[in-house]
Amino acid sequence: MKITSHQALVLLVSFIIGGGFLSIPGAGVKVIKGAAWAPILLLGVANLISLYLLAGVLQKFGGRSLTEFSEMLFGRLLGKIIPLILLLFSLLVIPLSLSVLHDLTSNTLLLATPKWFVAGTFVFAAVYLVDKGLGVIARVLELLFPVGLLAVATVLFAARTNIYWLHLYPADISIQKTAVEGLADISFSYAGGIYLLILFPYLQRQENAKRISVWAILLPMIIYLAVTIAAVGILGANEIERLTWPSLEIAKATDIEAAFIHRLDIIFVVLWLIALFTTAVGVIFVAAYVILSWFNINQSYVTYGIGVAALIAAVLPNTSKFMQQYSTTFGLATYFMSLGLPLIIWVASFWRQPQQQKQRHYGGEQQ
Amino acid sequence: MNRLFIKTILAGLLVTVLLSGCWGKQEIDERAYVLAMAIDTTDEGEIEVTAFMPIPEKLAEGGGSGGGGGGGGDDQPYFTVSGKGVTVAHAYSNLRYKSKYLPYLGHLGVVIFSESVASQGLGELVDVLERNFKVNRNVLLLAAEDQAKDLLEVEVSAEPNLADYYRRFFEDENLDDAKFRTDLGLYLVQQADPGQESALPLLRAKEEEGKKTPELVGAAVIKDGKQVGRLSFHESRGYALAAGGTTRGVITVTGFGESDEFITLEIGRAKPEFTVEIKGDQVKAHFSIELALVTREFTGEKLSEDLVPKVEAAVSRRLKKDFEAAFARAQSLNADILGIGRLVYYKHHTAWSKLQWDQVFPAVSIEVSVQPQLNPLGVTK
Repeated sequence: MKITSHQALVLLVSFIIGGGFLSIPGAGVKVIKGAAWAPILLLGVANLISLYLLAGVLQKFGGRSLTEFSEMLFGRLLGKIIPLILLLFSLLVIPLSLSVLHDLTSNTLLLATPKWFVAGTFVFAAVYLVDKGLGVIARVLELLFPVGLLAVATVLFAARTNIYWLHLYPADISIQKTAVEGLADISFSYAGGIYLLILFPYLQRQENAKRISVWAILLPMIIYLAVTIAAVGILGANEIERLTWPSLEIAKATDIEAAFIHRLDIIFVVLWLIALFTTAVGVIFVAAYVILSWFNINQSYVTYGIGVAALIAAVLPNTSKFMQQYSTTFGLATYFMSLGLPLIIWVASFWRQPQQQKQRHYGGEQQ
Repeated sequence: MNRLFIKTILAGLLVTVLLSGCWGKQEIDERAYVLAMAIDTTDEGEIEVTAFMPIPEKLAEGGGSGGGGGGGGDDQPYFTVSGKGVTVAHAYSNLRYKSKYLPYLGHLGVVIFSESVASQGLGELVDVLERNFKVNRNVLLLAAEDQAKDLLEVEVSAEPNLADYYRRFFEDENLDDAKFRTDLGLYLVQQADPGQESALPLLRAKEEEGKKTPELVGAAVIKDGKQVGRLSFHESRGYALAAGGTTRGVITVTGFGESDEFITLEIGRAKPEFTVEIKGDQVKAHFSIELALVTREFTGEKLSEDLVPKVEAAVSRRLKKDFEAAFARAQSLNADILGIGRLVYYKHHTAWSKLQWDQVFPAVSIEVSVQPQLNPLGVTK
């Protein structure tokens, strides 16, 4: 089973854009207040460079699976570390996504619905999709992606009249006490790019990997910057500091005259749910992929098993508290994932040469 | 039984469980849509929240045609209900016992509070609105000279829905009426921005021939979340033009030709602009406004060419006087509702960090320049 370059791009962008979409203006303000866009741009460029380098290495080593590629670069024992890191990251992101999902939906759409039901329905849909294989995931996300993009563009276009240009003047540009927290949040918002490691062998045209890597970061970066500039322009950095979901407030402040939709914030909530869903699909897929590459188990048992484990972890009473307590540490760890790991792979590629090996794919013809 | 059949049955059962209802559902006909809300303080020092809500069955019957406000008369499609408590949220929660419907804030359009509430501080009220996801940021904020709930019991011809009435009244800009619009989102941003205070339209329920009607009397000036004073009607006109976002509407002037001649002009375009100059701790502000005016009515014989500059000068005098009055009042209250401090904060941030704006603002000097351009032609002559 192979995916087209467009599908690979949509998959990567969908994996990258997640829950951070609603809070990224706040993360930028936490770092440098008046120039909230700057750290988002800088980290975007850094991620773009690292993913571009990774794409180059992957092209050099041909269409190998993650396990083979990793073992070829770092040896049999050390080579297990990269998949292990991806697995651990994914297993932590799933309950985190579920907790965040419940936090927002319990305040917006599903006021009296218990967490196990919200998270359970969400996980079940995600696991069901993952179990159908990468081709189905790609086709579903190909449908969701343009809808999401159009909705974001519509809200931002409507919001432009509320922008107060004075707010965009570079006043009060100073590193804030909350900078580390903000940088962690921003880094987390770019973290899905590393999944190129897994998607690469499935590419129909692997020579497009570099172009895909550039657009996979550019698109989220443009969306994040547009949302941040709109939020700062409409609300101002001082107001954003007080808000949990600044992007949502843009929509709440915007009205489309003569439109039949009165509440644009609901569009953002739905978009956010889609973004969270696609990210959850990505991390469940990656976790299942790594486990299946190590153990010869039925694919459905693994994917549904991950779903059940994540659901149990998410509904445990202390999970939300734990996630909040360690969210900054967790976010900072994503620097290693999205910037450090590609660089290590890039450096290692200078003294390891590609060799011919057999391929093993998840959900593909050589399981 | 084959596997497909079992899967179909299971899928059907799942769909029945998942899609046949909502968890903790609130049926639409069990909700009371709060369209407007009034906040007052009682003699006992409690908060009183009054909600203005429709009665869906009576709306469907076409009740209330011919005007009237709330109050809950038998024929009225709208009713008001009040709750008291030690906090706004507490008072609001007590509303539930007064109606068979469950109050819902998703369609809240207007919030009115009395000056007594505003002078104690709006922080708590705004906090309640801000925390509630259902409340939109474009909810109109108004201040009431006396009891806020009186403004939910006024009678307005042909518009029983008072929330709609107030929203339309303030959307339809008219300089002569000193209208400007402050919604929740704008208020929150103004209060968060350094060097910027807020003004809210101030109304009262005027009693005439046994009927209560709403009347705009000026503006409530809010500084650091508390009302610190008022703008008169005349001062509000200056504020509306300079900082209240009024860029359209009509203006009527006299005193340019024969003594009894009036001219009503429509503003086609208004472009207000503030600039500041800073020398040490001396701040000099400059306010300029360009106006494109179209004649709507002239009570004299003929609007001759030599009258045009005289009309423009009269407009300029009138607007300058209004603006200077608003500015002087803002300075006397030490509340920078015109946002000159905000301009310094964003455009001259280094200077701002050295200034104590509360001490600087009352001494800010201002130069006003009004440049009207009159097109003497109307639609037909």
